[in-house]
Amino acid sequence: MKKVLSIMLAAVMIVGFVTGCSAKSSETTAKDSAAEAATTVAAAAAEASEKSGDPEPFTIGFPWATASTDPTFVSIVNNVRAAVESAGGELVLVESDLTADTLINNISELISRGVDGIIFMPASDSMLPTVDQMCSEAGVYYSTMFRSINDADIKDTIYASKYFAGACFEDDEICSYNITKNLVDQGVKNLCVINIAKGDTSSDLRDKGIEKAVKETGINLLNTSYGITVQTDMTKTIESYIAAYPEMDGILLAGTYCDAALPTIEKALSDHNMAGKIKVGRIDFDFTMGEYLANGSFNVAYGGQQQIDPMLSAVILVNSVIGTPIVTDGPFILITNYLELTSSEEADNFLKFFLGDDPVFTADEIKASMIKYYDSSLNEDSFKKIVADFSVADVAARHANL
Amino acid sequence: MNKTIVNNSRPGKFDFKAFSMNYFSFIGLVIVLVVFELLTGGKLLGQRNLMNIFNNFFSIGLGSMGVVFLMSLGELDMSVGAIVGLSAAFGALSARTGTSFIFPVAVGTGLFVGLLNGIIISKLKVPSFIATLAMSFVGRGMTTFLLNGSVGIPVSMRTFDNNVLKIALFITVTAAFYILFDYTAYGKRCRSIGASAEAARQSGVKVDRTKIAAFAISGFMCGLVGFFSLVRTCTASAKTGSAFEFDVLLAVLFGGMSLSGGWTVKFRAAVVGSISMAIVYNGMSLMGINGLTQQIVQGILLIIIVAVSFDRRNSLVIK
Repeated sequence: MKKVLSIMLAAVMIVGFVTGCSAKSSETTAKDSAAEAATTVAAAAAEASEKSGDPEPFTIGFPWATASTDPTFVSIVNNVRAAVESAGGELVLVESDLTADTLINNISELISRGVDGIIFMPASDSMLPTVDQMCSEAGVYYSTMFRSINDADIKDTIYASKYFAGACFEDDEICSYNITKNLVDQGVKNLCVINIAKGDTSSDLRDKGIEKAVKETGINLLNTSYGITVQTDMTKTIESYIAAYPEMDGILLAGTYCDAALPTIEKALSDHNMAGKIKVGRIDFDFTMGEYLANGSFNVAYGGQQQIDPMLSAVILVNSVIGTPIVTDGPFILITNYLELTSSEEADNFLKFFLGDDPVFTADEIKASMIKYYDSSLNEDSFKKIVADFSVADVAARHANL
Repeated sequence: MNKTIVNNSRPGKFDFKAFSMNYFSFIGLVIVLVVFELLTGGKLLGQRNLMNIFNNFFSIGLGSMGVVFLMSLGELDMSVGAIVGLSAAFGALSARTGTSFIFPVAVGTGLFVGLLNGIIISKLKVPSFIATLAMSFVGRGMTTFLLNGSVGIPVSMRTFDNNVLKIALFITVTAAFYILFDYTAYGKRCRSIGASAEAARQSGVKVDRTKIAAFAISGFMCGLVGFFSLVRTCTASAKTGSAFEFDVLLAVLFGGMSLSGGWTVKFRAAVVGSISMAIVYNGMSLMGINGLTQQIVQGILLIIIVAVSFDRRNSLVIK
């Protein structure tokens, strides 16, 4: 009986899969036509009834580490949601560990759920052609956040794609160059670095920037550790640095996915009576900086892009999905600036206005200033101005009364 | 300590409890299928979503079928994720010589590491949990060192990420391994060693050779998973295959696999468990359940399923 049952279940699944395969092409064609039709209809609607009514309802898929309770991770979702809802869309979140394998499965799943657009953070350049192929076959727009494309061939392929709406990312190389020079200006001569796993686009660019600054200033780069994701490993790394390099006078946390990285570093330094004696800087703001900036055990942070990058990437995608892309001759690429943070007051404002419940631009603000459907005068320069004006003080001023 | 097999079955009378226990992995599969189909408003069995479910369980299913042999021996393999990563890494690096090298190199790497595991465990008498855990560190370290981040392969290799090919392969492997496990002397030797290694040895079974072969099979399957992971993403990175060992372990437990090995181990545990797990993951995702809640639900489901489906009727009762 078990064998009969096994064979029956297997047969049902196989029939299902085979029909799934065969349905793909017709579904794709239908989706293609639907996407083209939707684009045409939306464009016509936008032209005909500018500023009146809303675009057709749409859904945007977002693979993200939804299990994380880290305020930065939560704020990223809040900002993407604000961008999607600004034009009446719905955000569809799927849990992801953000590896290439899982992201591709996530994107496949989102496509099958019929989303109109997908925003994601690529794990590597080489996964992008696969994503492009999947999205192009299904007629689904996509945009990327945080990561630039370094591989020239892949960049050409992706930028030529009809379904790549664009991307928003920061200049990691310049950022790490600047923060390293900032630490040198504060007296650092022997530096240890902690960075995201090698191969990650941001990690590689940040390494390049650090190398450039080290070469220019002539300081010693003692060691670089990669891919630390848990606090115990962070503690071990700092303790190893202290033991191995007595001359170390600076630590740069160039990137990490470790929760509460800064308190972990400060605790390890305090345990060895080194807190305040070693200059500490980090790229990417977190929610504990104010306290450490106030007591002098932390010295400089470059970041603030974790909220605006995904928000603008989502805005770029939404504009394409509703048929009013910001630019029409290719993908819209925006490069954001890193904000510098050196005082506890700024850190407090960051905590309140960037990591609170509200996004850095509310859905209403986005609707008024970033959705071309409602304001056809928006262009590339409008967004460059938004990026240039963006700062902790700017958000604090706009949201003081929220 | 004397061990006596207690036979609870009553010939001639329908034993509902025994029936439900025996078929729980199938019943569980049908339950999760029906429940999630209803909860997702019919999206679960949508044509495209079926392929998502298949892609989710394809790798886990292959990995699970690979570990059935060594689990029937009462052994564990904690290095399957690392072997997948290492196979993908060598496969990606071999693409620089030629794309035709990717498949043999990836599968060969898996086979080699599996053999190494088997030799360490059987010849050096290192417990499998420790040996394979150590191998996972070695594998992960080597993968990170070799790739120095991530390495891509030509996008043209995506032609191998073909659903028809994968379905055909899955069916072939399932059929071949089912026959190997249930109907050949090798499968029976594995289970007899799991039931009592000493008794098997005294009966003339070559225990070491059987163990080495079981770990080699597991390694080979990991190589296969590594290859398909590589052609799906066109990328091998230090994260490739991460936590795969837990996915495989969960899948076989979902299928009601006995961790103690022996004659109670059923091949169906790997297949049914992988499908059930893929449906649970996919169903929760379709319902929009966040990652944190998903982890809680998975933990609770695992406890329930293992508690109910564990085949106690045929297990040894220690008196």
